[in-house]
Amino acid sequence: MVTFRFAAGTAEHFVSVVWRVFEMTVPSASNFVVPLRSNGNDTSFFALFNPLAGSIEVVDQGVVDGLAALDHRSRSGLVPLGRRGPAGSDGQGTVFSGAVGDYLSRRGYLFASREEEREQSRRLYEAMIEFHRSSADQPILIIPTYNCNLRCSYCWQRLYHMDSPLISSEMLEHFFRVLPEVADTSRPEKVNLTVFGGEPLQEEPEQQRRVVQILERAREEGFGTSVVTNGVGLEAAVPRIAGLCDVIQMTLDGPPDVHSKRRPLPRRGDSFAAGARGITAALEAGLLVRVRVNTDPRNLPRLPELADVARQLGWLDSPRFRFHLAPVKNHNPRKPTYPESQLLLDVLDLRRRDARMEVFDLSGFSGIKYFNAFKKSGLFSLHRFFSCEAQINFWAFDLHGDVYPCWDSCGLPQLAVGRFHPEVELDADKLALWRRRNALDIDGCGGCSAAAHCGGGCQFIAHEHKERFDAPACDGLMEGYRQAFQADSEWLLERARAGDHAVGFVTREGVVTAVDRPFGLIEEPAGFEPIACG
Amino acid sequence: MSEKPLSIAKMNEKELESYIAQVKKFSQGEQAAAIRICECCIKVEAD
Repeated sequence: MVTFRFAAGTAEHFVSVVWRVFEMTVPSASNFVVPLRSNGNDTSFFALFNPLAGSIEVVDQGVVDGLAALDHRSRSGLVPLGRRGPAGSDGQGTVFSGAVGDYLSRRGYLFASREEEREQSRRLYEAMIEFHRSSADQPILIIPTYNCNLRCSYCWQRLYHMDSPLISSEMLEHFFRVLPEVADTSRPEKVNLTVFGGEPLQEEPEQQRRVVQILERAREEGFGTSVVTNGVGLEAAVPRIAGLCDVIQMTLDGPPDVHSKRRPLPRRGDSFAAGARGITAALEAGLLVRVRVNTDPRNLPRLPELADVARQLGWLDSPRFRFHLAPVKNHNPRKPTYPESQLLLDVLDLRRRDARMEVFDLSGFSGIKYFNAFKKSGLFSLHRFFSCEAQINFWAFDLHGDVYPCWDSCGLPQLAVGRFHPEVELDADKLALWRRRNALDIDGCGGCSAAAHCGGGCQFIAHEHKERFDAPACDGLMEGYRQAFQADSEWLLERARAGDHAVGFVTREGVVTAVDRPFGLIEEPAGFEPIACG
Repeated sequence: MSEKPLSIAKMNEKELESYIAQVKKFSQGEQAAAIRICECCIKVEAD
């Protein structure tokens, strides 16, 4: 923070001095400006958002122009420091009044120098990664087999030809015995154990017993439990796992013909009907069911029909049911990628044209998710420059005795960071490649306004495409923000004018409403909602 | 001119430490249900 002292004088003198201070500022590299719209037309206002600061204001053209002028000057060096005229004097002099410059600086849109922003970014990264490591729940993944009874077209495990036998009962007991040596299980209520695959709920008696063994042992330890399944064996599994499992996640990619084509049984059988029966059975047994829809341009047009099916089967009437869209990730660098940002536009366009699409949660598009959380809580995500739990505290364990730091890396021994059998052995250097990855150390992320929140994107995909971890894997995060801001332009304008949320309102002439809520709406007497880092 | 930062982007180490302590306190108090730390906690993955 820039501070200064000056002798008592006129208001003009005050403005001049303050202006001189802020003339030595540069706009944050994280500033992101989005024109706001009303009834399909541009308004004369903009959302000024900064993922590094977690700040958002509604601003006028004058503020946008001022930030652009500052940026131009800082890059071109047109205005040598200390050789400027008074505020409002000429084309090189006028930037912001003292009050506006002060406010924009304190909200994190201006820094004294690029170096100051870099230093503060590093400080925030270190503080926030430590905060998350000490506060986040402990995710644990167990993979009893990599074998799967579906042949999904986009499956990355299939790309790597994964298959395996079943984990032994002895290996499982060993896993639970040594787990505290690897993961933080000191607060069992914060441990979430997920059974993953391959497909864990195949109708093989030995496998069924093994999955129940996992869930029973996890319950004994006091852990939360979930199972990720393709749904084919879910109906048969429900009587065994009800009461032992909190959450079921499965995937439906469209109405029956679309789903069965994209997620086929080996002989092209109907994989939809079995999954649908499984969802109904799980809901009736009191399980929470999250249905993920892996979305790309091929199945998107048919998703309204999937919504019809869900409604007809009564799933939408259950508070325990949730539908969410997730973009299909490109795990094959030899194939062209449909940009996630474009997919989001397609999704939103279909949603505008077809009300049936409203049943699908868009939290798989992180910009949308974060802004929706902000609307409820007044806080944007608190993570800075890291991407996901692979950088925090995630652990996966497989039937071979290998330990992995990320869901997607499981089954690729070269990406394992250690073993838990016959003894626990972790490779600190390999683990650090995951835990310490951050956008500040990735050359391609420098100067990108998304970096603070996207953290360089998915580390596994970066490795698949660039064969190294210190490469960016860009996704549609900022497009999500852009679309969310524009869709909620009226809401932003109302909140900014009313000053009743965490949205400021600033024009070139002055600060109309200021934000001073470091904890968003959490401190409000009532009405706060969950934040998604959050 | 007030020196109080209005964003974590402008907090010094001491201010940041205090801020995080307060958020942690929220996460352990009556607002606990409202504090879900990071997207990872609600992340769901591909099968």
